[in-house]
Amino acid sequence: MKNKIGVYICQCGGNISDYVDVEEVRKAIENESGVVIAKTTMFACADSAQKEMINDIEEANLDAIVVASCSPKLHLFTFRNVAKRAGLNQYNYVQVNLREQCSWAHSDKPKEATKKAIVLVRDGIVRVRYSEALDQIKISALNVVTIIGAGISGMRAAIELADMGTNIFLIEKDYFVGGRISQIGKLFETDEKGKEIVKKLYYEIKKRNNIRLFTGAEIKSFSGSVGNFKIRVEITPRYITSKYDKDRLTEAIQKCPEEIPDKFNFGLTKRKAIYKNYETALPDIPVVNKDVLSRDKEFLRTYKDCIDINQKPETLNINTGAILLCTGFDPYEPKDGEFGYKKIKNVITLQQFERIIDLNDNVLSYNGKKIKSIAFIYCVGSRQIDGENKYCSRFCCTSAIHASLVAKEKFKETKNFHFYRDIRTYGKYEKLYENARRQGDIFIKFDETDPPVVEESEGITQVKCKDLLYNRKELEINPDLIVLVTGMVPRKDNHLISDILKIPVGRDNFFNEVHPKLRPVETVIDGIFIAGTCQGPKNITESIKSSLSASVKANSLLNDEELELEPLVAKINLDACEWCGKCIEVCTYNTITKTEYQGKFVAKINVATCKGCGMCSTVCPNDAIDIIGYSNEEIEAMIDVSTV
Amino acid sequence: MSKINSEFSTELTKLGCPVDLNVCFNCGNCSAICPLSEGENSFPRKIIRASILGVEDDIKTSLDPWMCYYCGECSETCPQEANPGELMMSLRRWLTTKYDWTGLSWKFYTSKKWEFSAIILLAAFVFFLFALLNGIPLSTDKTFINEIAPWRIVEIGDWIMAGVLAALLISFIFNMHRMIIIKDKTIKVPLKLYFTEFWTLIFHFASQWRFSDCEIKIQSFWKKLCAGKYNYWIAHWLLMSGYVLLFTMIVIFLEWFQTDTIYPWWYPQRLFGYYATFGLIFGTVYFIIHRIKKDRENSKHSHITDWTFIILLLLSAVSGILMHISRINQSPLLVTYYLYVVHLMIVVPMLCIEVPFSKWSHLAYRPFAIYFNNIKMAARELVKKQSNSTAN
Amino acid sequence: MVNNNIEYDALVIGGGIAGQEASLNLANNGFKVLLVEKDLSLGGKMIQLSKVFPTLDCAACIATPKISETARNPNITIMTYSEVKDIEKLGNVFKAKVIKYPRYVKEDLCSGCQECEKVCPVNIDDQYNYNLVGRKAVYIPFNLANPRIATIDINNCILCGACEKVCPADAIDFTQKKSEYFLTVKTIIIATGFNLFEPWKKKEYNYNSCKNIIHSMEMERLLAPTRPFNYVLRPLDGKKPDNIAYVLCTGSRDKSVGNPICSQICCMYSIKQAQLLMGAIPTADITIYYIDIRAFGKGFDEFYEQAKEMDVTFIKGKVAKITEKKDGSGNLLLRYEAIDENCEIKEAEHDLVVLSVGILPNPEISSSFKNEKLELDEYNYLLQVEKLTSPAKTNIKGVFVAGTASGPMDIPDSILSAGDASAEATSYLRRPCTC
Repeated sequence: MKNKIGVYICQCGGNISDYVDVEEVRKAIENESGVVIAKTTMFACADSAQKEMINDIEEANLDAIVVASCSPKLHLFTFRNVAKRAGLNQYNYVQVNLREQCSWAHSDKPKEATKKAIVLVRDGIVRVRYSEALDQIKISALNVVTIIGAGISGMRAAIELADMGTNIFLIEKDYFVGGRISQIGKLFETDEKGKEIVKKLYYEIKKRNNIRLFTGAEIKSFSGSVGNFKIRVEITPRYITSKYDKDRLTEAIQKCPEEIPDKFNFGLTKRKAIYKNYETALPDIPVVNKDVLSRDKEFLRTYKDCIDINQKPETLNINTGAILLCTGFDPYEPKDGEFGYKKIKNVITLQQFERIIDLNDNVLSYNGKKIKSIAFIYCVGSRQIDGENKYCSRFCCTSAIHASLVAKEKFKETKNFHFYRDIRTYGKYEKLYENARRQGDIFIKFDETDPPVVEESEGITQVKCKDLLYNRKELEINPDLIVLVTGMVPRKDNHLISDILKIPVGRDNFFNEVHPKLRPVETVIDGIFIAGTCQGPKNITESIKSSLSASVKANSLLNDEELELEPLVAKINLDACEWCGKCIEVCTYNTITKTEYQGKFVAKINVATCKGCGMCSTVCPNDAIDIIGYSNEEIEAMIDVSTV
Repeated sequence: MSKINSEFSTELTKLGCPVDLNVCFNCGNCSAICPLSEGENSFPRKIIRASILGVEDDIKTSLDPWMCYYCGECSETCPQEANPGELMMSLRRWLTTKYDWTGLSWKFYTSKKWEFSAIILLAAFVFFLFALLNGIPLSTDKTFINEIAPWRIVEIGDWIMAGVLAALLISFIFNMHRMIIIKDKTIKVPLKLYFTEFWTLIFHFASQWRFSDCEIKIQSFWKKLCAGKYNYWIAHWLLMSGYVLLFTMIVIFLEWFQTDTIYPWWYPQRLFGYYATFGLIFGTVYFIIHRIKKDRENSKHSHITDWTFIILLLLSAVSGILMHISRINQSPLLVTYYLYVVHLMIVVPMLCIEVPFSKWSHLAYRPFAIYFNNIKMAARELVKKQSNSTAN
Repeated sequence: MVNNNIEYDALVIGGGIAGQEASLNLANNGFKVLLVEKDLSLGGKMIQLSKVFPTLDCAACIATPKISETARNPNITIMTYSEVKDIEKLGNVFKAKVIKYPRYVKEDLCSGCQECEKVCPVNIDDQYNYNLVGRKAVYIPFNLANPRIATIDINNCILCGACEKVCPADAIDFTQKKSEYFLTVKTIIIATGFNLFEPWKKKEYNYNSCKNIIHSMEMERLLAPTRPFNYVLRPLDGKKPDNIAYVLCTGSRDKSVGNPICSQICCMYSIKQAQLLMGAIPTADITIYYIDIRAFGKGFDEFYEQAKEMDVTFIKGKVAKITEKKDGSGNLLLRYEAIDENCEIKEAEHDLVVLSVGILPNPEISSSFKNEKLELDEYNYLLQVEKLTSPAKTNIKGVFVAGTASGPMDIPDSILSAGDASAEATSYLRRPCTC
C-alpha cells in the first residue's frame, strides 16, 4: 500500500478549469489517506510542471503519484516518464481523465462536473494506493518477417525490409511471382508494363540473400506470439525433375497432349498442361498440372527424365517475428446474366479486357471479330444497391479509362463509350479522364436505379441507357465489345487465412486494420500486419505505400530483437484455479493454455500475447484470475469511494 | 430512343468548332453562368451534350444557337476550357447549312476554294456586264454617272438580284420553320399566334434587344452604358442599321439615291448615306480590331468566313464612300465610274454569297428564331391553359 | 548565433501529420531525426480540423497523441518556427542551414501560462482560426499547440512591455535575434504539405464581398471542439444558419482558376461536415452541389450513402455564380443547372454557403535546394521519379517525399505515404553504399 501520494490536478489552460472547480477538487482530496501533496497546475504536461513534480517526488520522498488531466492516450507516457526520471517505478503512477471524461463532456453543468471530478480523482488515489512496482515484460524477438503473397506489394516490402536488415520469407501460393499486375500490360500514370516491373523486382529479390522465396507455398498452421511466431507452410511441387534438360522440357511442352483453359488469361485462351503463366513468368520453371496430365501415362513415361508427377509436397516450418499479409484481391466475377455476362458472347470483364489488349498486337479482336467500338459499364460489383459490395473499388474508374486510352493508342480506330455513375479519377488521375474525353470517348451517366440494359438480337449487341446528363433521354449504341468495369473483392480463400491467423475482416470483408489513421497496417494481433489490396481496394502506388509502411513498422518492432510488453496482463491464482475451461472460451487472443500444477490442471497465461482485456477474469467462477493493475480488490475499493 | 453518332462532332469541327468540344464534363457551369439562359430553356450545355452524342434531330429542331449572343462568359469560366461559346457559333453555321436546301452554304463554310471562287466569279460577272454595256472606256464624253450606268438599268439588276436572294432566304426560313415548328409533334400552333407574336420579329430585328441582356443584369442601364458594357451591342446595331438603310436606298430608292445632282450636305439623301457609311465603317472596323486583338471571348476565334464577310462589308463601304468623294470633288467621270464598278464588284458577291448562304443570314435567322420561340412558348402556354380549364 | 555542423541521420521538413509519422518511424528504428517546422507549432493542417472522415474521430484526438509522441521521443529533435535553407548535396550527405526565427520569448522558460496574453493591449485577427476571432500580439497559436509557448508577433507588437512585466518566468526577451544552424544529414524527408486554394480567386463566387460565404477550413474551425464560438453561426449577423450549401470543386478541376486536377478530399470532408452540421443544427437543411462525388476510399462510399440517408441533399450541377440577395437578409443566391432535373437553370437561396476549397501545391521548398535542383511535376507538386514502385523517391538520391507534398491526399493516405517515405529512407540509410 502506497502512503506517500502526490496528486496534481491540471487546469489544462481552461479546458478543465473553466468547468471544473479544480481548487475545490484539490481541497476535497487533500486529506484522503496517503495523500501528502495535492496541487493544482496550469498545464501538467508543461516542462515546468514536470520539473516541479520531479522535485516533489525527490524531496517529499513520494511513493506514488496521480495526475488528473486529460486522456491517458495523450499523456500516460509523458507522466510515466516523469515518474521514471524521479526514480519512481512508472507503474506507481495513475492518470485520471478529467478533460475528455469530465469537463468537456459536462461543460453545461459545472457544479456536477466538479462533483464527478472529485470522485474520479478519489478513484485514482485508491488505484495508485494499490499499485505495485512492475517491470515491463521483455521477450526476445526474431528479426524475421514472413510475407504472404508475392504480388507487387509483397515483393516490394520484401526488398525494402531486406535492405533494412530483416530476414524475409516470401511465400507465394501461385507458382509464379507478380500477382495481378503481371496480368496488365501498360499501367496507368507511368505506362510501365506490369511484367517488366515484376521481372525487375524478381531479380532484385534474387540479389538479396536474406530473402527466401517459396512459390506454390501455402500457410497451413500458425502459433506463437509476436516476435516468435511459428508457421507451417506446405509447398506443392512443380512436378519437374530437379535436373531437367531445358530443351527436353520445351519439347515436352510442345508435345503435351492436354490443353486446359488458361486461368492467367481468365479463360480467354488455352494453355498446355505444362505451362508458365506467360512466356517470361518467373521463377523460370514451368509447372505441370498433375491432375490433368496424370492420365497420359505414355507421355509421362516418355518424358520421365524431366517430368515427375510423383513428387510429394514438402512442409516448411518457419519461425518468424512478424507476418505481413499481402494476399491481394480477386476481381469481381459478375453473376451469370449480369449485364449479359456469360449469356452474350462479347461481354467481358475489365480484367479480361486488359488481357485482350495485352494479347492482341495490331488489331483488337475478340472471338475472331474485329473490335471497333467498346462500351464500358462502370461500378459492376461495386457500390451495389442490392448486393453486398457496398464499397467503391477505387481503382476501376482510372483503370478503365486508362485501358480505353491504351486501346485507342494501340489499335487506333476504337471508339469508346463509358456508362458511369460518378467518375472517380481523383487527384492527378483527372488528367487521364480529360485525355479520354479529348480523344473522343463519350461518357454517359446513368442512374444507379436504372442501369444500362445489354441485349442481343440477331448477332448485334445493344446497350441502351438513359443519360442523366441529357434529360434522361434513352440512348442506344451497338458496340462490338462490352467491358464490365469490375472492381475488387476480397480473395475467395481469405477465410482460410483469417481462420488460421484469427484476424478480423471488416464490413466489406477485406482484412481490417486497427484504425485507418493511427494504425493503418496493423491488425488486432500484434506482429501481424496487412498491406496492399487485402486490406481494401487500392491502386499500385497506394498498395506499395501501405506495404512499405508495414515494412517500416515491422522493422521497428523487430530491429532490436527484443520486445517490451505492458505487464498489465491477466494473472492466475494457481491455488484457486480448478480448470473449467471457461476462460479459454472467451479469450480472443489465444493466450490461455491448460497446464499441470501440483497434480491438477490450471490455466496458464502467455504474457506475450495477453492484452489484459479482462474477459477471462469476469467469467472465472472461482475468481482465480486478476488483471494486474485492475485487480478485483482495487476495483471494489474504487467503487466504495465512488458511492460514498 | 436515339442512336449515338460520335461522328457529329467531327462534322462540326469542319465548321470551325473547337476540337475541345469533347472535353466537356457536364458540370453545367456554362448554362448557369449564361445571362440569357433561363429555366428549362437552358443552354448551351444541353446542346453541347446533343452535339457530343450526335443527336442531330434534337439540334436541327433547336433554337438555342440563335438564342445565344456570344458574350463569352461560358467560355471564360468553363472549367475544362471546352469553349462552349465557339461551339454555339459553329452550331449556328451548321444550322445555316441545314436551313439551306441547296447545299451551297455547306460548300462556302467548309471550302475556301468554293468561297473565293464564288466571290471572284461574281465580281468578274459584274465587271464583264459593265464591259459589255460600256466597253472598257479609256475616255468618255459623258458627264453624268446616270448616263454611263443609268439607274433604271441598275435597278432592274438590283431587283433581279434582290428577288432571287429574297426567294432563297424566304425558302430557307420556311425550311427553318418546318424543322422547328412543323416537325415538332409535341405542339400545335394556332395560326393566330403568328400574328399576335409578329411584333417580336419586328422588334428584335430592329433593336437586337437580346444583346443588351448579354451583360450581367445587376447594374442599371445607364451604369452599364457608361461602363461600356453596351459597346458591342451598339457597334453591332450601328453596323446593322447602316447596312439596312443603305440596302433599302439602293434597292428600293435607287432613283432618289443615285442622282447626278450634288445636293447640299444637309440634304437627307446625303445625310442618310453618311450615316450608313459611318455605321458600316465604324462597326466593321470595331469588329476587325477586336478580332485582331482577340481581346474579347467572342473575338478570339475567327473562322475564315467571318473574315470574308466583315472585309467585304468594309470594302463595300469604303469603295462606296470613295466613289461619293470622287463625285462631289468633281473628279473626272471615269474615276468615279471605275470606282462605281469596283464598288459593285464587291457589293454583288457580298450580297449573293453572304445573304442567303453565309454569315449575313443571321440577320434574318436571329429575329425569326426569337419569333418562332415565342410562338412555341405561347402555344405551350395555350395548351396549359386549355388543360387547366378542362381540368377545372 | 551560429551553431556549426550538427549531425543527424535524417532531416524531416514539415511537422504536420506526415512529417510526424515519418519522424516517428525513423526514430523508432533508432535514427536521430531533426524535425523542422516553419510554423509556431507542430500539427500542420490536421490539428485545425474538427472531426475526420470516415470514422468521425475528433482530429485532435488523433493528432495530439501523435504530436506528444513525436515531442517526447528521445531520438527526435524538434525545431519550430524555423526554416531549412541552402540544402547542398555533398557526396553522400546533405549540408543544410536552418534559420530559427526569434519568438522573443525564451522557450526554456515559458510555461505557457498565458498571463502575457491577458495584458497585451494589441488585438489582431487570429490566423489559426481563419480570422474568425482575434488574438493578441503575444500569443500561443492555439490551445493544443506543441510546444505550448508564447511568441511575440513583432510586426504587430507595440513594444509596450506589458508582457515583460507580467511574465512570472521572466521569459520575454526582446533582444532575441534570428539564429542559424548548420547541419549535416544523411537523408531528407520532405513533408511540407499543401496550400489551400484562396476562394476569392474564383471571382464568380464573390467570396470577398459576401459575408455569409465561408470556406471549408473556416467551417472546420466553427465545428471543432476547440471552436471559437461554441456554435455554428453566420459571420454576417451571428444568426444560426438553417439552409446551408456546399459548393464542391471550388478551385479544383477548374482550369479557369489554373488548377485542372481533383483535390481528392473535398467531397469527403464536405460530406463529413454535412453530417456534423446535422448533429450541431438538427433543423438545418444541407445541400451539396457536385460534379462527381468521389467517395473512393475504405468506408467512404458507405459514408456518402449514410449522408444521403440523413437527408443531406446532393445536386448534380456546378454552381456557376453566387450573389447576395438584395433584400438585406444577407442570404445568397446560387445559380446552377440542375442537370438531372430537366437541365433546368435554378437559383437557390441559402443563408450560409461553404466553399469546398481545393488544395494547391506548396513547392516553396524546392528553392531551398542549391547544387542539385529538386524537380517538380507538371502541377508543381514534388516529382516522384518512380511513382509506381518507389512512390517516395524524388529526383535527388536520399531525398524522399511524404504526404501531400507529392499530390492531393487524405489523412489515411498521407500517413501511409509517410510510412512509405520513412521505409525508403530507412533502407536507404541501412543499405550498404552502392554509390
